[in-house]
Amino acid sequence: MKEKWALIGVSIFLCLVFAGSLLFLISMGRDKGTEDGYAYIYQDGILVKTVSLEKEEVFLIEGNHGAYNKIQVKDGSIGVTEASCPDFLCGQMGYISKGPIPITCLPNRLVIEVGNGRETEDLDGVVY
Amino acid sequence: MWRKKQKALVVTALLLFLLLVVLLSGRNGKGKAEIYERADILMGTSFHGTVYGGKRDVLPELAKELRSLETERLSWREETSEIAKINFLDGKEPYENISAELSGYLTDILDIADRSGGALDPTIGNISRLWDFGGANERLPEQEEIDKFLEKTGYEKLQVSENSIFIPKGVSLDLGAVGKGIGADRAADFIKKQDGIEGAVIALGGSIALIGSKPDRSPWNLAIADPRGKEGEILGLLKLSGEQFVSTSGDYEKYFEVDQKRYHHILNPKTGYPAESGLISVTVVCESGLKSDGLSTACFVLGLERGMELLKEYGAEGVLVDEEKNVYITEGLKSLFDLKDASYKIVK
Repeated sequence: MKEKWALIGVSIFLCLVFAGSLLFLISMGRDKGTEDGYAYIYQDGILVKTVSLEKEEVFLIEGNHGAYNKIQVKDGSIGVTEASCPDFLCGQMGYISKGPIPITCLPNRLVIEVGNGRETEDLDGVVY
Repeated sequence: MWRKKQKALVVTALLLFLLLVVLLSGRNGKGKAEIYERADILMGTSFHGTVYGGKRDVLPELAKELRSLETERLSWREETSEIAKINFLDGKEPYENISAELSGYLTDILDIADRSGGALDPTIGNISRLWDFGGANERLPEQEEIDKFLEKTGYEKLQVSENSIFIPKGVSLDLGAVGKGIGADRAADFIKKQDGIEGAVIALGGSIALIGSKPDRSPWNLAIADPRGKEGEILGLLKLSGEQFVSTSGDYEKYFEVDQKRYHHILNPKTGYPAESGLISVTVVCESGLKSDGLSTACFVLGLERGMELLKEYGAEGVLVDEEKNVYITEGLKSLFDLKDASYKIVK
């Protein structure tokens, strides 16, 4: 009897370890800047913020020497509403929801990308 | 009996543990190798790198490499670059001791310029700056201004030898039409030198380098943007193998409108105005980033018939779209292209 319970106990333990690891691995696989419905904000080449396009919000991304970009998420899209850069070309790029052309702010070295269909279409890139 | 079962349990547990360790070390739940990604602004455009496998994230080093390509070789804006130094001499004397790297690029560019009858021209810099597409001073220039600079435009005015280059006074070099392609070439060379990388996709603006293969060995899946679609819509998909470069030139990426007329950023070097060849999008696939980038521009300027001839001459493949929404595909891509927008028609 003892052996049976030991066997069941170890099996349950191993199953839990496996399930936990698989969930961890799947979540790692998703956090790669490719999921649809999300925007990925990079500053100086580093991913600084991931936001869902379903939740409306306004936030600031600040850089060195007072540089900033005010970013808004609305109606499933994302855009820059205000920025410290002299030309404000990032704001003129409007709102994006599916890509493929990212919003870029050269002076503040900021890139905003969206999921780009890479998850649903299994896309590796878009030429434009 | 109990000991035997105990042993079996311990052995099973150890085996499962080892399996987990293997899975955790570099493999994710989808059976793919570790993925490294980076988005950045490099060479004056958006950069996106995806690398499958490898011992560490090499993308920060690649970013440095591309920055040095810009500041040491290609950018007319950076006074440290060879191109800026050549322009600075402004016809006073030849620029001696040109690097073998830049000399090689110029040879390839001048070959395309020559074979396309000047549809690609690296001396168009002054006119591009007048229009300043996508820049803070974007505007429709006066005809007089264009005429003044047209006199100083023409690739045949350049005198290039193995070690030196001479450009006459007032002529200005600008490698903008091929810079992203050159960056894609450099990126591919860098990635291939790294240990353990299975595959990578490096995008610099509209130019993409496909290196190696995906961990599941399926073809690379690239979308071509819909030239008349809304944001995010695609024309079709291309399934490609590695060691290829893809560039697109279109009239929709950078443009402005005056009196309901569209002025796009691909200039015809002969007129100084946006090319009106009947094409609205040209995608080129070939074995070199410089060539794919340069040929997509040249074909856009030349139009369908001469563009197709030029691709054939270079052994390059392409997808060309005209303003009537007809799609023309070269033989080698016919089975690899999947049209996704029914408002376009493939012409057999």
